[in-house]
Amino acid sequence: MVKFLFPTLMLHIHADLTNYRLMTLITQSSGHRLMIAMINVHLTLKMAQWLDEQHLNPYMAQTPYLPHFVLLTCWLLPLMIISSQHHMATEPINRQRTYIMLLTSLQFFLILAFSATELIMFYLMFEATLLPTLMIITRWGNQAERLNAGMYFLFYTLASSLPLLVALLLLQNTTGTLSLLTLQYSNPLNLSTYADKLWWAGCLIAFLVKMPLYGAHLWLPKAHVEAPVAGSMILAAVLLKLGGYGMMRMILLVLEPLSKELSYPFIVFALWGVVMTGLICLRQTDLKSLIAYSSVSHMGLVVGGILVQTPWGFAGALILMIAHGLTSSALFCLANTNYERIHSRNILLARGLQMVLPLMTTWWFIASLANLALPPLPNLMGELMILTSLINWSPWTLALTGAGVLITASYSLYMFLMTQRGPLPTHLIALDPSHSREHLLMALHLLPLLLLIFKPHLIWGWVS
Amino acid sequence: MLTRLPRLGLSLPRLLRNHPVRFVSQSKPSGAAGVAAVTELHPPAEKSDHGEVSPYVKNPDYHGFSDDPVVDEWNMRVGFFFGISVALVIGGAFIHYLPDHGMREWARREAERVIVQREQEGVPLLSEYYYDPNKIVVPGSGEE
Amino acid sequence: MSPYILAILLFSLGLGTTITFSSTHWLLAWVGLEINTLAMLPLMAQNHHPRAVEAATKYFLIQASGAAVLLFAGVINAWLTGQWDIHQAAHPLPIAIITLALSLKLGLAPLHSWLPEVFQGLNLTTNLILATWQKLAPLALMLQIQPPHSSLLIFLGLMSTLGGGWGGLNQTQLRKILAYSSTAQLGWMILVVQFSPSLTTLAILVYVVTTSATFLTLKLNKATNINMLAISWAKAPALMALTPLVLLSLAGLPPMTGFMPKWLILQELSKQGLPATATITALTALLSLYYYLRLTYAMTLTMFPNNITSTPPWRLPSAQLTLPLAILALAAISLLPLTPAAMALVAL
Repeated sequence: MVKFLFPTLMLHIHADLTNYRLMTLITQSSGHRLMIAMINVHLTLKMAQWLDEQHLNPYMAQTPYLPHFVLLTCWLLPLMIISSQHHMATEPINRQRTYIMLLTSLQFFLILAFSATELIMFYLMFEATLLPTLMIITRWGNQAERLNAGMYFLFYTLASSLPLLVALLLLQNTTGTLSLLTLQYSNPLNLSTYADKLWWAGCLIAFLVKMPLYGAHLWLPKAHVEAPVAGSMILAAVLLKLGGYGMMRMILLVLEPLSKELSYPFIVFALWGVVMTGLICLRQTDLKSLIAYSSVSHMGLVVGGILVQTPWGFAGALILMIAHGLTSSALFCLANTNYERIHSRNILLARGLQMVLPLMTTWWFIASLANLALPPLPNLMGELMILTSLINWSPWTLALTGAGVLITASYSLYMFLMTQRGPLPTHLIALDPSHSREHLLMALHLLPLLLLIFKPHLIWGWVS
Repeated sequence: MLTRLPRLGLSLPRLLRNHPVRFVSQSKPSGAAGVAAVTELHPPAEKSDHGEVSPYVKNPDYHGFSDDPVVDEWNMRVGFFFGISVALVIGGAFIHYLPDHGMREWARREAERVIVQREQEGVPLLSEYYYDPNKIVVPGSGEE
Repeated sequence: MSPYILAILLFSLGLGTTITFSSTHWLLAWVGLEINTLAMLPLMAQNHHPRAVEAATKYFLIQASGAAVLLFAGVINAWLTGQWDIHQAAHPLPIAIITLALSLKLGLAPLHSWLPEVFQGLNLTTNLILATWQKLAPLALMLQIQPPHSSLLIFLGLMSTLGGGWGGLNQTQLRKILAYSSTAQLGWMILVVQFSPSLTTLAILVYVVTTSATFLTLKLNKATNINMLAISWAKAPALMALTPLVLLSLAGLPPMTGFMPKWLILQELSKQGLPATATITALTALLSLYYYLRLTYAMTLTMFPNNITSTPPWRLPSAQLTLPLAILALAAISLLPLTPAAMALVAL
């Protein structure tokens, strides 16, 4: 644990003291971060292999399926810094430092959240991630609407997660502990009353809003659209997964007997959301908003997969979350490269880019195909497993999931075709070519995704 | 819900009508002559309409990291070295040669071997008893 | 004001509160409260400004009537039970009256309307005393009485968190916002006072730290409304980068110190079988969060353009001592990991 928490903390000091003669601050700290990511790969795999939650500090540990999330966090944060290079280039050095410190504290809190074994610790860190994210959105966003978006983000999350705190404290009163290591051995709760059902909802709604479930998702497109690129990336790639991770943890351990009946409406709502947000995507003209709604749609599948509570559903949700983390983050980066050149998020203004940025089109192509879950990409593995477990739960879900998959393919292709193919509008002829930095960024997003094809059981968790 | 239906109905024909307009290019037909004409209309990169000076004017090998060419070059090298060489290549090799986690691969190989063996012997793939019941010695009830 | 007079006033201020702290007799407690009020009044009116005089008058009337009601309740108590001991006041009627009198003195909703008006008329230093030291004596009495039924205190607590949150939403004056914030925070303390008095002590301790840090920051920037706060990022950039954290700590957002009392109070409430109250209280905290967040937006998260007249203060070093501010701000932000130590400190 300390092996990567300590370097993360050191990055604070690093950002503050560094002398940036030869390398920009940004690159130094992203290099540092990549090293943390490497340590983390090493460490998490080691832990997953030999320790399996045993020889660790009682407050922090890594469960078999959780190295993935810590790894995703540590992998994405350097990428966030690289992607913000252009955004931060004109800022004074002190603000760059502040920015990097915010990202560092975000990484710190996320690692702690993903490795907490005490539910209150998890809750604290879950909430603690709000603050750096809020700052990133509202301080470094571009439009004036970012303030509104920050409000939405904060209040949606807090209003749903404060009941979670009370629910956790009630659980502690009943069982006497909130440690996940102990909770699994405690007696199953006797949940029968109406208040217990409310308690069940209190435990899950925080995560469902964070995911977000369709209906409670309005904060997400706003936050995504207004956030700077790093904010969008971390939001789509890791923060949404915090919700999924929390659900996986809670639902298996403590909510067991009630979830069978009570999760019906939520599954239906999630699948309905897959179709609805997909349809919204089809008529989007705002590139970032399209990607944000596509995240909502994918997360709907994840919610469905988790709530049916079968091993396949869980594994599928895990795979889809990891794959979607990389894919959506890559798409946001691509949208940002467009934005940096064209200064608009509008799809109609940025058409036919294949003519001027041909290599970028390749990345767009891979990312769009990953988004629509082309075989053999890990996205497809996740979707297939979720779909299978949902069909097993009720064949009627096929109507919704099938339509959802179809629509996902349509809007992904719509996005690709609209931005890349076709004749080049005249106002785009004088575009800058894409930089090595952007290619590096895209390669670091998409190559791991492609490499996962060859060793998928790294992210399969339960079944393999 | 019902009140929305007429709205949707009204908007459908409009959507259908607009689509061709959206998808068909509004620019002049492409071709050498057309492009040349358009390029004349637009000044070259260093005077784009946003008032930005393209970094490629100053540094043709611009990598997107910094305005200073030396810093830019070094940053690119460091980024690619750590990102691609160390993280992806060495990391990938490391992961590939990791020992079998939780004996999963061994279990799979073993299962396949057992299946082939049982098929050859003609016994059912799964036997009813995991242990041979004759070999299990149950302690007598009298010794307490 | 002459330093001698100031010293005498401040000592009397301390004396009054100390007398109340150490008294077991209702009359002596009343005397302490009155000394406290009388020492505070000249401090409030020292500026000879109509608003300050108005505030001092209002404060005097409210505190005097609160103390009078307290004395009245003490007399009734003596009449009914035959003794003046604070700890043995067992009759429900005087205790209910005393609770109301003390909540008037503390500024708990629905008896809080005087608080923003008084705050608005005073300078920030006096406000700081008013928001921290002046709360201690009534709260100490509140801790000592045993209320016969819990619903009155829970009603007061919920009304305060609600009223404190609601009232501040529409304000642009920082002093009024902080007054409402004080009401909301006291609501949390009152909610738990009957279940765990030591938790109330912890909560007021944390509140004193965070609110002092806030007031000192405002004083350093001489900011009394949101617009003045909005241009102060240029005066003290590092401080202004830190102040959002202090404000959000006041709001009780998790990684900061301010979450500690809220967490423990919610825990206590759910332990006492009041999860609905706990949930409602937690959600009313969002109302307060809204105005803290708005201050944060104005202060740091947006860059307001600076005009020419606001540039000279960049060059002028402040005469205010910054060490207390630094210590308090640090304490207000980063003490959450010390929760077990804090719990041991107040002997939970």
